[in-house]
Amino acid sequence: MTRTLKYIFSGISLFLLTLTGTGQDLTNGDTIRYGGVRFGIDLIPFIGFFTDPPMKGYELYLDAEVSDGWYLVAEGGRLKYHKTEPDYAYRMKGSYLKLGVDHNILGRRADENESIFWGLRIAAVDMTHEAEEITIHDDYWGDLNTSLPPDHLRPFWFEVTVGIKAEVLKNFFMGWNVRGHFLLIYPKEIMQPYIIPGYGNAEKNFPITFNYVLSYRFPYKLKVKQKKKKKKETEGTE
Amino acid sequence: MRQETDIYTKATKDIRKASGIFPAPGRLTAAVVVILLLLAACNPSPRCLENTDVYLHARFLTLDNGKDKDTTLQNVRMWGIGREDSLIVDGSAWKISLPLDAHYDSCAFVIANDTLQDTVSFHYTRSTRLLSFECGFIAEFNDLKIQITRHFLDSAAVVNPLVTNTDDENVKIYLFRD
Repeated sequence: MTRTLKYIFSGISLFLLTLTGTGQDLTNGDTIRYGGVRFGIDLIPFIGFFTDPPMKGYELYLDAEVSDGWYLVAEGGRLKYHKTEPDYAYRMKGSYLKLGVDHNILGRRADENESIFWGLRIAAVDMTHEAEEITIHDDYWGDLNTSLPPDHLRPFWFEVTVGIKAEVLKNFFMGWNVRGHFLLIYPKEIMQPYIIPGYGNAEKNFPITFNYVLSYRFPYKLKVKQKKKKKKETEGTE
Repeated sequence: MRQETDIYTKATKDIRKASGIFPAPGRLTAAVVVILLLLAACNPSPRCLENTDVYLHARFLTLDNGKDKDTTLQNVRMWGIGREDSLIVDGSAWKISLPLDAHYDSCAFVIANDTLQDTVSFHYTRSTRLLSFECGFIAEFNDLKIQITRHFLDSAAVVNPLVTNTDDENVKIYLFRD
């Protein structure tokens, strides 16, 4: 159900993206404006608290603008899941970290903080899962009761993301993004995880997920340099 | 320059609108409530659509001028040792599906016709695999090896050492030619 909602929101997101204006490179001359470190939280994982069984998790977001339109991004989270069926009980928990960059394809001005961005991430998770009270039905030799001990996995993957962000209040941002995941390293185990924390459905090669992030910016001054090409054009005009 | 500024202002306004799928706190609360109600209303019960039965698939053959020829055994009975009360085959058969015992690393079956009987023993390594969260776990058997007694059975060969939830043939059992 969570995934279905994510797909619906992703569809809305893509539709809205087509309605938004395209990027305009309107960078003025050298200027000082506010950049900042943004700290945020993704609202989507909280939907999991209300599913049956609950998928308890959270994801935190941190970015810092290092030069005009380029952001270093760190995201991290945790996910815990416990599923009980008549023939088995499955337990999984894991913490993940994603590092990468975002690039605002719009030019920036001193007083505007909206962005349409694309980004890249490299991500890893440290997770453990196990199954207990497994019953394998066998009408001939008799049912087998067994368990699988905790299995420790560290899959790596790569993400591509597109999205938008806007400053809705002073230093307070709302934004959403759609992202695709490419699994790079994933040791095939006897028991494949149901969900890889931070990745999504482990059975899919390219799961698409959706994030809706609220963030607060701790501002600092950032010098914006004029692009040489623009400068020449300006000089030519003058 | 003025025109560019107007375009930029329009673009940022569009982004503000698009980023604020739930722009106002009241709408945000309403949206969260709607989502939770939807989640509460939906109680998906996914079904298992995969085959969860795990059998060893064997075929009876005779050699005809060096070529395999499917052969049907008439009036044959087959049971697992320890399960004499439960026949797996009772009648005629040219191929059989045998349940391997997941409690042990080996099991054996007796195959009998009206006058003779043989024993077929299997040795394997066992594992438990999560098929899917809808279907649960299955027992799998790998590194399959076979031994037979030779009264009316001539020889046997393992063609696929992994016994799992597929219909792939695992073993060929050759009979003496009449």
